[in-house]
Amino acid sequence: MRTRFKTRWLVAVLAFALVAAACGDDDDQGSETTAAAGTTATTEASDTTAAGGGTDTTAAPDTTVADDGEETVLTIGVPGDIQTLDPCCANFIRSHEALLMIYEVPVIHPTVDQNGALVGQATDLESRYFESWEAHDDGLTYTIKVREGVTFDDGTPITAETVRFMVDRNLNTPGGGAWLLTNIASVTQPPTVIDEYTLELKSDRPSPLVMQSFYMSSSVAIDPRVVEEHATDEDPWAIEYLSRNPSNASGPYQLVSRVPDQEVVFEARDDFYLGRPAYDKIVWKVIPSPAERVQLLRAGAIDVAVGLGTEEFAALDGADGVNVVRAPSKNMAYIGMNNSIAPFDNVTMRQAISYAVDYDDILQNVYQGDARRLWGPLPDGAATSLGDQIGYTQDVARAQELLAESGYDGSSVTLSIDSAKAEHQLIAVRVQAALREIGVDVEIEQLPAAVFAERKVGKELQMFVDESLAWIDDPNYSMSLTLEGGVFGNYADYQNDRVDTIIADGWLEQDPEARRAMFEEAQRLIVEDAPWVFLAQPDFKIAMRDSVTGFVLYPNEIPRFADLQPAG
Amino acid sequence: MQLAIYIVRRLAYLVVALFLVSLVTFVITRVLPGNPAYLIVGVQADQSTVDAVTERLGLDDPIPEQCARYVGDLVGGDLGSSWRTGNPVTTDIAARWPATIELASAALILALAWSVPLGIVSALRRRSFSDRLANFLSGLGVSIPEFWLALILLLVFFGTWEVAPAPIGRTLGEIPEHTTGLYTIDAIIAWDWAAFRSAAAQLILPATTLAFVIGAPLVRVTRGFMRETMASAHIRSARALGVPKRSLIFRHALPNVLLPVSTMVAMMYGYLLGGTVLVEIVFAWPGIGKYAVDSINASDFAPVLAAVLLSALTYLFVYLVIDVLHFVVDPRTRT
Repeated sequence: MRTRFKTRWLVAVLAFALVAAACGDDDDQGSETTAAAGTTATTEASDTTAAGGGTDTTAAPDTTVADDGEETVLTIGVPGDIQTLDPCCANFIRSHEALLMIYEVPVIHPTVDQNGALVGQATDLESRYFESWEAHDDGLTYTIKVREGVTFDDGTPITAETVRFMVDRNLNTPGGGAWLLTNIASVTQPPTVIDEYTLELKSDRPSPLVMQSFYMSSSVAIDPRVVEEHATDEDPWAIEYLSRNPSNASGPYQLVSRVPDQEVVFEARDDFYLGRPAYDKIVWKVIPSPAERVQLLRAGAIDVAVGLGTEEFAALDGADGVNVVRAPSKNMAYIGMNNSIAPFDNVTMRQAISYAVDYDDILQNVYQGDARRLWGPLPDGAATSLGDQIGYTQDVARAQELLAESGYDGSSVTLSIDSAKAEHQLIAVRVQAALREIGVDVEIEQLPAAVFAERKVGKELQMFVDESLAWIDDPNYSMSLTLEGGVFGNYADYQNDRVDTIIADGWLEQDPEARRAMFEEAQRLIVEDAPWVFLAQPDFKIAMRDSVTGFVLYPNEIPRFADLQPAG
Repeated sequence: MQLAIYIVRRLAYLVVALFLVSLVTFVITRVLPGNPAYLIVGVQADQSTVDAVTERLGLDDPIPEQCARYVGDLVGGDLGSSWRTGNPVTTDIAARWPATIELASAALILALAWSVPLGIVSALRRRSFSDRLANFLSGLGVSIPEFWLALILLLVFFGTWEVAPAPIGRTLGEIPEHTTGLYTIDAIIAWDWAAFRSAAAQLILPATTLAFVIGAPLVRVTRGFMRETMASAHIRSARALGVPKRSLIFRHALPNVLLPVSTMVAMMYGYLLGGTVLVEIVFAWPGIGKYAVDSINASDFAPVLAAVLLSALTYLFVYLVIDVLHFVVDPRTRT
């Protein structure tokens, strides 16, 4: 009898504990955020508080506004570690972010305020370690002046030779640097050094993008001596060494420690030519789970959470002390329809699909309204974009009519997605539902990232969800990347001779108005051909504590954390 | 002498088993589709770059040739390099395995601390409160997914009550001077009390999660064997001869129970040392499990092979140790 009583008591207590735990979240949000409200980004002290063990309120660092002499620390929650630290060959966002903190860029887009969001003005360039540049009348030659007084961490000055070496190294290493120089800037020879701070750069054909191509992380200043010291016969450009060792920083920060898959610590450089950056220290904490990054940001344990998805931003809605920085993006979400695989080798079929998709449903339910419609091959707001003057809206009757006309045989189609991208899954199921309405049966195929990439580049995917962001805002650049016949990134295998001619001529056309007319024609042709279903331009968003400010969105959407500063 | 022969024979089996495991894993990773070169080069590339990267990774050679090269390197102690981290795999593993060992060991100690005593007590007192508690907890332990438990613990202790530190890796304070790579042990060696508290605080929740999940089957096994032993002829005879209860349990029954339980414990430890992916991800614990999964997702073959080999080696080694112990302790295994 007594035992039975005890058991009942135990069950009651456990049940209560479970209920309390389940309800706890909502009840205690207030206290969580109140506790965090006093937080500034000066979380160094919080780290030591946390080190105090399991009994303290370690979640919310109780630091106050940075006093003079107190170290200011910015803690950023990142999903994964850095891959390579070699500027020539970085291709993952963490690498770019780290490189842009450690090494200095030659040029940058100037910051402007666009409806409250700070963005890098895509049409303009500002000088950094290039002091000035001048295009000659031949349209091919540039005289570049390197800023005097910019030094590496050990005091070695950045000179014309540093720049010559950087271009030479990029041309001879397999990576984005080489690709930008040869394909976009048409530069195939390193520049000539005229004097200690002057160079002459020559491109093979006129390109409007020669100077713009220098704002990427591949053009940062690295110390030629470091490369020479670590070069081997097998590895003459010391890729092996540079990919792991960020030696002799030239940028606002230097990397001082790195624990694999755990944390990366950057420290401000005193002798940075633009002055010491706002935070004394920037710490990246590797936190793989996005839900965890959200919880830590709410609690104030981290100051910035990167790599969040729609679901996580929804969870941050209305959170106290958290600021979601939004900016309209030129990133394009689209569905590629392979123009050389049936039934999408038929333009009428592709148009039918473009009329069938429920765009509003995707904007509302996949992106929760934080996206704009994409109307054509150039995003709204991009140079020469026609915006909503072109494009498709949902018209099921028209879709059915075109489908009947196309002679579609009723066979099912496969829509492939990269299984790592949650939003693409949501898009895929909505497209599947919309196409079922007009009688097209869609099978969704989820592929691991590497398999998706391989088959996409191999142009083997019949239909796929993908995104494309042109890192340089120029119609020539973005179309030559994805829609020119036969190019590497033309995953839909689209081919239109007239469009190809426009792209080829566009590189040479110097008159802006003539260029605009050409690319307007190209946009109309591409929309008519419907190689993609033009879905959406999801907004760029990044979540940070309201004690952090100064985030600037650059055209390539790679955060430059050195821009950040304490609010107030 | 007999023991030496036994150990040598077992070591030979171990080598053969490892060879077979590496072969099977190699073939599986290579026949699966997905060339990492496409991920490495990204969009700003052309086919010649892809080809150059594929060649550098050695993925353009026929599979038998790649396999022969891999086995050759393996014999020489070279596990290859990871394209994701740019490091030799041995370096990567050396940096991550201590995290896993520390978590696994802490979890095992905690698991033993609650499960074995509870199993014994519940076996001795049937239908008592402790028996029902054991039943309830072990039932819960085997049925709750570990990542879920991890999230609930975080929600309660970090999110709501704010008594646990933020789940950001292995320490929020200074990393103690490297001796063993286990932060808690290193902190003790360096006599750095603050570092120890920080490292231990980070360890509590993930270790508790794992301890609960792996402790559950241990409770059941301990209770089962204890009951069986207490009902066996030799215990009944001892009891009839008037052996006191304490001595009956600790001297006569327990040694018989600990033998099978230790086998189970060893299996658990082997499992934990292979990496506990879900718990590692929830707690941002930079261990071997997370490394392996990240590598699989990126088609980064060398680390995947190394992680599987390491896991196999740990299992085989733990089994070897247990079998040798049995060989020494239990005369029946010598026949």
